[in-house]
Amino acid sequence: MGAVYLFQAVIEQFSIMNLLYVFVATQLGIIIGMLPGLTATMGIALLTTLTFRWDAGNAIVTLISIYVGAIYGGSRSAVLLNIPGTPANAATCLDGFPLAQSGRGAEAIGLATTSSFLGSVAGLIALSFFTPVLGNLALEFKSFEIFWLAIFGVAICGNLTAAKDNLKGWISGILGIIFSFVGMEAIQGYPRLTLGILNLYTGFDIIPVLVGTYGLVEILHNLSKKDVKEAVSQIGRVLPRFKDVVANRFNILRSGLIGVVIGIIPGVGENIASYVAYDFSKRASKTPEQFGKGSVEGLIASETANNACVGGALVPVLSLAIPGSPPAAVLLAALWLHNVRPGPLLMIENPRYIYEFSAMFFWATCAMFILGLTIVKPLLRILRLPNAILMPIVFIFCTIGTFAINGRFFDLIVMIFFGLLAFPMRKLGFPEAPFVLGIILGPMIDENLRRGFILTNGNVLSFFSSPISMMLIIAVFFTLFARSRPVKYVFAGVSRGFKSLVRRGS
Amino acid sequence: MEDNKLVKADFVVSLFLITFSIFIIVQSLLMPKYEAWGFYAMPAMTPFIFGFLLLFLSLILLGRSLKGGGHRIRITRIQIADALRSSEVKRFSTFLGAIVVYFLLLGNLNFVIVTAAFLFSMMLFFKGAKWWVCLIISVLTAFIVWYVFNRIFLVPLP
Repeated sequence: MGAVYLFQAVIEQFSIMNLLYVFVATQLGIIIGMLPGLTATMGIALLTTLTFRWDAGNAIVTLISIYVGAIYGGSRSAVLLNIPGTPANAATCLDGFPLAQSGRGAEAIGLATTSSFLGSVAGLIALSFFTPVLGNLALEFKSFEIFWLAIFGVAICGNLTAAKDNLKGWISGILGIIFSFVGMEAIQGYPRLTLGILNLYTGFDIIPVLVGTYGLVEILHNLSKKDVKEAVSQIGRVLPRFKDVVANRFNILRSGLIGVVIGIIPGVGENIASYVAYDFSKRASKTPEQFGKGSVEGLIASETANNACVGGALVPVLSLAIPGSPPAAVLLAALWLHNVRPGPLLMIENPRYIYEFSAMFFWATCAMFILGLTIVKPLLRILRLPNAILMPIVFIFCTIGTFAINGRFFDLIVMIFFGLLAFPMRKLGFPEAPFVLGIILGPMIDENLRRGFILTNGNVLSFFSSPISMMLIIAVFFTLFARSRPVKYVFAGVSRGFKSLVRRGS
Repeated sequence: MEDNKLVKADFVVSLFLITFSIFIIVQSLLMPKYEAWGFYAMPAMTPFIFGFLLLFLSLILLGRSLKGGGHRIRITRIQIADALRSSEVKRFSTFLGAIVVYFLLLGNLNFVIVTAAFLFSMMLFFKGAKWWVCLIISVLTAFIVWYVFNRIFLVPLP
């Protein structure tokens, strides 16, 4: 019955005016996503004020389109400039940029678009048909489970590096976590590691860190080179090959599922989803050595997961009025402003609203796919500008994006600091991705570990008591030790035993 | 970076990381305990754990670099002079200097003027195009950025 309601809602929303809103807003979202520093959260917040007096239907479809477009749009600068437009696209840089460097820029954008589309479809399915069920699953994630999820994130840090040097990946991740502790902590409000600097009391915002770590480093790297080369701007086949997509069907399914599940967990956003999906994809791949050097699988995994996460993050928004990610939180506020009251009563008071909302998401997804594949070539031509012209302009966008988040001049200093820290780190083989992931995970680990202890009066066993915790602990164990000899030996023994049992049985 | 240089760099980095992790551990120990909350709730807990983890990993890095002969570092005056004279360092420091000047002027002078001047000087220094092309691009970019972000989207600019 749900499919019929969804189909009806999709048909009802099929009008020239509605499509105009969707396409314009999605394109705007793509542009916001492309610009380093400007995030989906900021885009939705900006448009919430501009659409305040609009009809609720038009305003909400505009905001959903901005959200979908921005999360996708960040992949373009990630692929072409190695600068993630939004934190959600940081993992896309790992393989997207090497693909573009090897002359497959247009193909990489085509693959990113298709993956984002398929990820959004996974999110749409979750949003339309599983909202009440998945909403309850979100409630199962308490402090302990979120803590283990964050620890799992730390464990994958060693795997998020192009070289075979896991040690540097972990060091980079732990450094990021330590930097995330700077500022007033959330439980007692004690200012940690601030060195008496007042501006550090609020800690490091993720945007200046991200723009500095990726944006400024890339600018410095390009401008300091003796031979200033032209920016990568190959214009070839944009539409991905069908066989590439089919060959990655399990990768897409897995990444879509990871994106949806991580999306529905409150407070865990698109950025973590894409890193986790990337790591799973690398482990499952027959060519893991290609990851970080331009792997199509890696690019597909990260882009599928971050867009699947958008749909996932909207599930608890509708079912519980709890946002799954920061942009979803702003969207929730916008829904309230337009007199839409999401939450457990939504299914009783307005049972068809979920399908109307899903239909809006569907149109935004279609617009993203069409715009993503059609306006690639003009954008690539812009990137034909020499680095000497392009990079100073990109720097201005980095500056504006960083400043616009809080209107603080201090954030610009933070951007420079992290740029200057990450520049030698890159040269010395310490990858940026775990560092950024560490900055994101640090507060999650700190708050949930201590909150969990406070709630249980310091009972350590409570961290091991739920099935979700146990599953995550097993995942952490295998992430850290699956390649070690003793574990491999045990696995081989178990596998041999199992095979001999099967043979005896038959 | 070549492998032998990387091993030497790892040696220096590991010493820096060891110092940094000890600093974090010491800072953690100086934090208040809030005994009424229970020792498990003290703000120092996670910085201490991760400071200790960083120390452990840094020691592994140090051990690895020592094994590879990373401690055999010889830096001569000529090497330093050559490094400082390299065009890479000159380009890097010029751009960094320009950023500092740009940030100092932002907020004190008009955004469009400062941004156009920054873009023009950088494009000219890095030889992006002919001077008049650089000038047109700089002025247009600064104006469009200001108009779109500040006037249309009401985004605060520095």
